[in-house]
Formats: sequence, structure tokens, C-alpha cells
Amino acid sequence: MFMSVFARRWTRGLALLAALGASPAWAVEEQELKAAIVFNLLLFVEWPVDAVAASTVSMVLCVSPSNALNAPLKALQGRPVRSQLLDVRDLPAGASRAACHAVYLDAADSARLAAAKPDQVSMALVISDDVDSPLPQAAIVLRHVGGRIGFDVNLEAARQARLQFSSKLLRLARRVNDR
Amino acid sequence: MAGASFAQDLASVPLDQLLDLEVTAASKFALRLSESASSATVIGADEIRALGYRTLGDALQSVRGLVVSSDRTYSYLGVRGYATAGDYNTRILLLIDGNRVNDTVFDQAFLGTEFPLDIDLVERIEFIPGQGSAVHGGNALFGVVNVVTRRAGARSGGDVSVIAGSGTWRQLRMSATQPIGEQGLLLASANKRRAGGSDVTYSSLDSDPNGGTSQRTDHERGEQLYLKYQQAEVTATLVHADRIKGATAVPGAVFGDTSNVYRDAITLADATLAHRIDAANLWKLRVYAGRYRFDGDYMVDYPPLTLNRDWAASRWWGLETNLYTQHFADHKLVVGLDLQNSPRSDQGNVDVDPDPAVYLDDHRSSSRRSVFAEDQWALSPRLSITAGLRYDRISDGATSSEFSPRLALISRPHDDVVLKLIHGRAFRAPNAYERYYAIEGTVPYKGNANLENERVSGTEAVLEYRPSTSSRWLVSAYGNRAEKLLVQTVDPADGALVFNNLASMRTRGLELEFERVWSTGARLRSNYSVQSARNQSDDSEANRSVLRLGKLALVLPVASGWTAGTQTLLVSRRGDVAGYGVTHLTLSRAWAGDRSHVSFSLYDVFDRRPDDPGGDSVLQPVTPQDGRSWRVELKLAF
Repeated sequence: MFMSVFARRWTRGLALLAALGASPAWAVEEQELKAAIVFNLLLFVEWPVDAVAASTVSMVLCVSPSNALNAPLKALQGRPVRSQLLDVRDLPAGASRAACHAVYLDAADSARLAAAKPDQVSMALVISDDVDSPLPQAAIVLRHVGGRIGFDVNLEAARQARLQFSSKLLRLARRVNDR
Repeated sequence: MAGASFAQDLASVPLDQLLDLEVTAASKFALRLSESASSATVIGADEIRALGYRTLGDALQSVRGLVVSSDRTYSYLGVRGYATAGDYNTRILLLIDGNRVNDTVFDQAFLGTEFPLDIDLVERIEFIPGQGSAVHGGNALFGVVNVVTRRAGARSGGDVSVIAGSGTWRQLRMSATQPIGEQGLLLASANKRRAGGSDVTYSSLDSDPNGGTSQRTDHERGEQLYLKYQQAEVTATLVHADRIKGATAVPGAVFGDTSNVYRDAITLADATLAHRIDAANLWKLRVYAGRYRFDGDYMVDYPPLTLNRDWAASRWWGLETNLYTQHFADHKLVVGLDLQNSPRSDQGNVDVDPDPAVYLDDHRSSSRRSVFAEDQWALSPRLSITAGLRYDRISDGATSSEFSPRLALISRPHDDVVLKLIHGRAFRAPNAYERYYAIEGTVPYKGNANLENERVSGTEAVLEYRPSTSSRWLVSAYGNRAEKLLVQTVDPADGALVFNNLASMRTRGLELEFERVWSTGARLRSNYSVQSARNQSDDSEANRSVLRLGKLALVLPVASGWTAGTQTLLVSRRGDVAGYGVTHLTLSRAWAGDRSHVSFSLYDVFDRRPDDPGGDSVLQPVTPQDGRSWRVELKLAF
């Protein structure tokens, strides 16, 4: 659509801009930054060994095709995440999510998910940027913090999915909720 | 860099640094537009710390083509061959976060310790050479200095700093960040300083009974306060600074008298709303107000010995609004409106003691209405055009209208090569001091109601070559033509000093720069420039000057977390002032995630004791600078 054509053209434009500036571009596009943060968050999470049915070679990150982060995340396809390789897949609405290690949802996705059955999202790390009405299953919520991107952690959701968060992740969080 | 997607490079950055990156807000976007259509230099906070820059002036000394000089009261910037004695930096525009700081009486850009922001609050300094009036309005004749402030940290916390240096410099600073409510953050920082200064010897005055040494007059004390409140789309800031500086030698005043003192007090307040309308449009509204007060005390021997005072008071407020849109495919467009009122641009001169008398008590007001537009058009992935135009209508006794255009062509014929061709025109309206300062006396001054705006037009060609992501070459050639420059001369009819639009000047130059970074964190920046300035009104050899400048800055990580930074500056002869070379050295170490640090600096390591131009070509042709001096800073986070 209009938005994604723009994102692609100005990604090149941004590289051009970065090349033109006298130093690395300090100000970055929001979607690129969120994608980089989501990718890095995966490095600080441990999944239970038995939980996910997907292959152990890949770290499967699912994101819906209409999500703004779909393209920037797909650009990271194949990058190493500890001992695995990142596999970014489209998340069709309603299909089983049992094959995903992690799921990225925005506000539009959350609305659809609210109607989904609980077993379809258990065991997956749910990262969301829907700050206003965060899903109870969202263990990490991205938010704007004074002009930058930060995140909140929901330990209850992490426990439900039997995920282990490293202490470094908890330290970098803006807020850790433990209800 | 060629072929690599930006998202891929960003994902390699560690998480804690990603959380520290700023998301593009169009208020920054607009400045990156102007910055990309130029050969700007950016100095980040890490460089400021590694190289021990104490003031904005120190940082600008490292920039290609610039030379900063000091008369031990204020710092003055020479840019691209243009540097006139007595020019209070009226011909460069100083911005804090994109907002104008030059006051309305003297148009002064403050660069030394008189700059109202603590250097610790600076995130980066951008110097954009060339004519900047197409976006920013008046004063941007030869360049724009933009100081970007730190964002409030994401967590609450604070730090305390203690600074000591030669000349009995003592400074204490405290900063803190406090979250307020769900999304608000408040950053507060205050500092206080006091220095005794040094004894300064002026060799031209050695017939004076003190042997030309001014004692106990180089003192300084001051305080600064900074507040920034950020919440969602709103940012509000308050800047306040008050400095009292002793003057070691003032032409016309009693030499070495400790009553010769300048006081500069400035307060700036603003509130900005940056509202994202949709993915392609952003609207910014800003309201601002400022106040500046100057007092200059001089001990004059008429006879009798009398304390005379110059004072100036200016007040201004205004509103500006910008719309940034990417609605049109391949275009990044910004349009803006700026309305400013200056109800008070007052100045005066009085005898304070022993016989009070008033020689000048002038009150003026002025206003400015402006509208501008700038578009960056991506013709193809390898070619873009930036075109900007601004209309200013100024009423300050006289009414003038100015159109300031700017055009830049940016081409990338090869993945490693960028070519830019830039042309622009800028103006400066006469300030209240040039128009209205008038006093009778032994050295009479008179005003001039017929002054016109100064104009500069310039062209620059830039070639940038980046053989890899870690090194960069730059060559720039430029020419500026300045017309109707205001010069203060003696009117033969009555012997009074008066300003007139007398001078026209042509400056030309060539700049070369090389920059390299290493994976260890080491970086090198070196540049060399040759500038030639010719006074068109009188084209004799005496009115031509050629200046050569060479700079080298090197940052090196050394053992166990320490960083060494060294800077060498070479400046050729400037008229009566001998050329010089100085080297500075700084050792620093940071910990607690960069929030605490300690640094030791040695300036003018080889004790070369350079001179800078003085306040008067006959009475005081040179101002001696400090020789070898030191500085220690300790910052502890809590």
C-alpha cells in the first residue's frame, strides 16, 4: 500500500541521508527501530525445551502481513539468534500459533486475537506495541518513552507461557509488572 | 553501506543502545533536510567528552574552516574567511534545538562561557555552513550553529559533578531526571561556577606603570539553570544563565581596573507541541519568549574617575508553526510560519558614580513576520533536489521585506560518491545597537536611521567519498559575495562613530577533510582549509587576507577503559596577530553505563601562548590567550 511503498523508498533514502550526513544518523525511522528492538529482545528470553513444536534450528517469529513491522522484520530473515536462525513468518488470522516461538502484534492484531482461543497463543512470547489496551498474554509491550522506544514487561504473562527472562532484560525495561 | 538495508545494520546495535536512539520526529526531520543539503559537521557528546571541550567555542574550533578567537570576555567565530573585529557573531545564527538564540539588540551568538547552556547538556552540535536564511530567517549569512540538547533519560536518577581548573576555576553541577505521571519526564540541571582568572600582560601597553599587566581582572562567576519537561507530544524548556565577567583591558577605560565588568543575563522559555496527524504528516506548534539583559561597567577617567555603564535590555516573544508532509510521492515538504514581537529593544548609557548622568536612554520595539517552504524532491534513487524559499517582513523603525532562496542538487553517481551543488542567499537586518546607539562625549557615537539589510549570496560544491563505512573524504570549494555590510567608521563631518552599509566582500575557499573510525572505538578527523577574503570597496593588497587552518583530532581507547583525546590546531597569521599551533590532551574514563565519568585535560600542552585579535587595532591589537592550563572533572551518577 501507500505506506509500504513509502517505507521502502525512504529506507533507501535514509541510507542516502545517512551517507550524506557527517556522522551516523542519530534519528531513525520508528518501524526500523522497533524491528531491531524486537529482534534483540529475543536474545534475552529462554523458551522451555519441550514447549514449542517448531524446529530447533529456527527461531520462529510470526507477524501478520498487514502489520507495519512485517517488512522491517522480514529484512532480518536468517540472522542468528544465539544458536538458532531467525525465521520470520506471516501469521494468518485464526491459524494455530503453536509453531511460533514469538509473535509480534500491534493494536489491530490484538483486537482479532482477543476473540481467539487461549491454547493458540500459549507458549509463545507475545510482544505488542498496543500500550492503551495491552493483551493479558503480552509479556513485553513496546512503548514511546520521551522520544525513544522502551518496553514494559508483564511477568505474569511470561510465567503463563513458561518463559524465562534474563535479569538484563528486566533491568532495561521501563516497568516490570508482576500481578 | 552499499546495498545493505538500514534495518539490518540497526539490528546489530546492542539493545541498551537501541533503547537510547531517538525516533525521527519531524522537528528533527526538518533540520536533517537542511543538513543533508549542505556539508555539515556534527560533533557528538562522546567527542565533546573525549576531547575535553569546555564550551561551544572549544567544540567549534575543531570544525573545518572555522576559527574561534577570544578577547577574554566573549568568543568570536570566524567562518569561511569572514571575521571582523567588533562583530559579536551577528553573521552566524545560533540555534538551540532549532530555535533562534541571537538577542534582538546586539544579534549576538554566545559561544564561550556566556553561552547559556551547560556543555554537559549538549547531545550534539551541528555546524551547517552556507546561507541558512531560506529556512531560518535573518543572521544566517555564513553559517548556522545548532545545539541539540539531551533528551531526559528514560529512568529517574541524577548526577553531581565537580570541576576544577587553572585560574582557580571551581564549578559544581547537579542534574536529575524525574518521571512525572504516566508519560512525563522532567530533566533539571543547575550549575554554579567561580574563577579568579589569571594576570594578563598586554605587550602593547608596556609603558603603563604596571608593565601592561592587568591583575585580578580576569575573574568570572556565573550560574545556569535548565529545565525540560517532555510528555507525549509536548516539550517545554526553560534556560536561564547569568554571568559576570571581569574585563582585563577595555579600550577607552582605565587599564587594569577591577570595576571593568560585563554582565550578561539571558532567559529563554518555550513550549512545543509536535502532533503526528497521520503516518505522512506532522504538525508542530511552538510558543516562545526570551529576555536578555546586558550591563557593561567601565571605569573611565574623563577626568574625574567615573564609573560609566552601558546597558541593554531586550524582550521578545513569538509563535511559530510548521507542517511536515510526505503526502506527495517522492517529496518531503515543510511549510512554516513565524511571528515574533520584540516589545523591548532598549539600550542606554549612564554615569553611575560619582556624578550620575544619563547619556542615552533609547527604547525601541520591532516585529517580524515570516513564512517559508522547503521541499526535498527525490528525482531518482541517485538524484535529489532541495529548494527552499523564505519571506521575511521586518518592522524595526523601517520596514523591509526579504526573499531568501536556497537550491541544492545532490547526486550519488556511484555508491561511494556524493556530489552536492548548493546556492543560497541570506540577509541580516541592522540591530538596535547599529541603528540607535548614540552618545556625545570624547568619543561620540551616533545612530543611523537609514541602514539597509546586509546580503550574502554564496555557492558551494562538495565532493564526498566513502570507500567504506569507516572512512570518509570530503572536498569543498565555495565562494561568497557579501554586500552592504555594516561597518562602523568615523564621520569626518563631526568625528562621530557611525554605522553605514559600506563594505562589500568576496570570500573564496577550499576545504579538505578526512575522517576514519576503527572498530576499537578510535577515531580520527583531520581537515585543512585555505580561505581568501577580499574587500571589494577597496581592492588593494592591504585589504586582502588569506587564512590557512589545519586541525587534527584523535580519540584513542587506551588501557582498562580509559580514553585519550588529543587535538592540534594550526592557524596562520591574521593581520597583526602571529600564526600559532596548539595541542590539547584529555584522558577520560566512564562507568555506570556512561552516566559517571572522570576526565583530566591539559590545554596548550606545549605552552605556546597564542594571541587572538584584540578589541582595537591601535590601542589593543592583540589579546593574549592562556598558556598551558589544566582541568579536572568528576561526575558521579546516583
